[in-house]
Amino acid sequence: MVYWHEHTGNTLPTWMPTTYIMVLSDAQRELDGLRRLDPQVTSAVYDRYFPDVYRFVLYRLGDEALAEDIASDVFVRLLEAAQKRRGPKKNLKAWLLSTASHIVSDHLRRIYRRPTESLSENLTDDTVSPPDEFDRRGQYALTRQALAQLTPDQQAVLTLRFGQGYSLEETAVVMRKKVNAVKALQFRALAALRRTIGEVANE
Amino acid sequence: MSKNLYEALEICLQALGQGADIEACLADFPGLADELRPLLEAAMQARALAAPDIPADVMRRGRARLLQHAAQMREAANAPRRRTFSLQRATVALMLVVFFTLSGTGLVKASSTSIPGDNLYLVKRTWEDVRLWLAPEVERETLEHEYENERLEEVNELFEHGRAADVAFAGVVTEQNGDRWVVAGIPVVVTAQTELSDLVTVGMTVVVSGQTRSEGVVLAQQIALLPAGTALPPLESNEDGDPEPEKGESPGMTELPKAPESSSAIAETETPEPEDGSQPGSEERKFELEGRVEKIEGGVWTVDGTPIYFDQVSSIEQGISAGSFVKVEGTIAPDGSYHASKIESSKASDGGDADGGGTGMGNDDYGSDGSPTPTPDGNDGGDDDGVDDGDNH
Repeated sequence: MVYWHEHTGNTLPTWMPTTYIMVLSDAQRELDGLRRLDPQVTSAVYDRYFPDVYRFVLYRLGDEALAEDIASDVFVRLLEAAQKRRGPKKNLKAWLLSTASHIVSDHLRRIYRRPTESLSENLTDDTVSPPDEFDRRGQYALTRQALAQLTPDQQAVLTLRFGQGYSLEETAVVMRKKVNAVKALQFRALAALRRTIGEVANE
Repeated sequence: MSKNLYEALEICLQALGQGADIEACLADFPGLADELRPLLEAAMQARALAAPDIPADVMRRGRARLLQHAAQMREAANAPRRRTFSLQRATVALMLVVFFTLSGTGLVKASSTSIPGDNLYLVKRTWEDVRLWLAPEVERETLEHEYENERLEEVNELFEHGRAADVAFAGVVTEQNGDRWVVAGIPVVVTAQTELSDLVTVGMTVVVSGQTRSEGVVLAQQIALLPAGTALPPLESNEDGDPEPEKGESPGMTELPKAPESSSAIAETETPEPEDGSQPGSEERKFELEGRVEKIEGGVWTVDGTPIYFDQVSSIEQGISAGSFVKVEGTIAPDGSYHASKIESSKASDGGDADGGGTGMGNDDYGSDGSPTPTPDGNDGGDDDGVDDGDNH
């Protein structure tokens, strides 16, 4: 298989940074391997991206078993999409996180349609924890509950910035937005989070 | 103004990320402090939710599942070639049948005992293919099991004769000692030249292609994962009470797919209570479960509807595979998942009490009352989410 950069290696536009070319060819090699269902490539792609996807889902849901299942499902979808040539074109990580985000949003929508289930209820029966541990976990539950009520974009920007620790630029790439748009979005997301935490606490 | 605010927020977030405190950040923007403070507090709360590093066992399980799924997709991509039944192919197959039945039954019969390397071996394999093509869907699995077993018997026969021949067979990896593996009871040597599917561990289902050697091993050329849940025929273990006659004839293994009948007679002696329970609140509880292996998926086996992780088992008794009746012992992790430490084959009829179904469980409702855990915490979260297609922009 011949890769794009090998074809055009000598005639690349001078403005194009070499690192970008390498990333592009890596992604293409990965996608090509996934399409062939090559075990080595599949395994390498998994090792490279699974931790990010898992952490992303875990941050949003706070449930390890669920995060494991959903993150695994995202990779199965990647294989299937690659087979149908409907998968990512170049940015594998963005595709994976975006797919994870969709699945999580669907899941949360379903949960919040069921009014009986609430994160805080699950925590109130925790009698063994010492008081400050209880407070801390109660605060986590509040934050997570509030987070789940933000718009999908707001949830995503907070997860990427604070759950994954991505920089503004990385976040912009993954969300396919301009850096300035992400700045504005994170501002609104934090304001909404702050407000919603207050509302949830008063419920 | 708002642009300045966005900028100031970003600068403060970066500072917080490097360990600064909120007041120190705000000191640089006294005019915006009132607006920024609540946002930075929210950011601190958001940061506190960040998850720790991914546990190694989660990573390993996910990889195994994905690779088996990839194997399944590879298989599915190849399957239509064999399964689709065009008129043309049906005609060819029919002609072959007519040819074999009218003029060549002797040939087919003679070929049935042939082994790889014999002149008639090709006839035997072709005849198998024809039978598979013609078999109705319900019988195809039986035949496939039969032929899988036939492959194993052929390997053993080659060993007996000390003959070298190319072989391919499928089975569960039951032992891995460096480059010496055991797959479906057959010793396999893995070399640097072996094309190896990444990450094969004990408990996984694989197909081995290689060459038999006079010293009674198969030198593997390729070991590939088989699709998740591939049902392989249970092999007769040596200690089994009723050793089958070692004939290569097809009726030999037809009793194999008695799964439906035997699954109703699941011997299920559960000991849900913590056994080493000197202190009842101890984190690690033991379990014991008898039942039928329904599925092998990566390092996760489903025994009577209960997923059991095989990440602590170093070797598995030969002859155990999907469909086998087994007795599993192990521990229940704090998250409610089952981890096997020991597995051995058991007789379906041993636990005669199971058919009454007094406390027995339905095959599928893992996590409900019949599950072998004393306190089913329902860690089966993933199955219910029914995630549907996330289309991506």
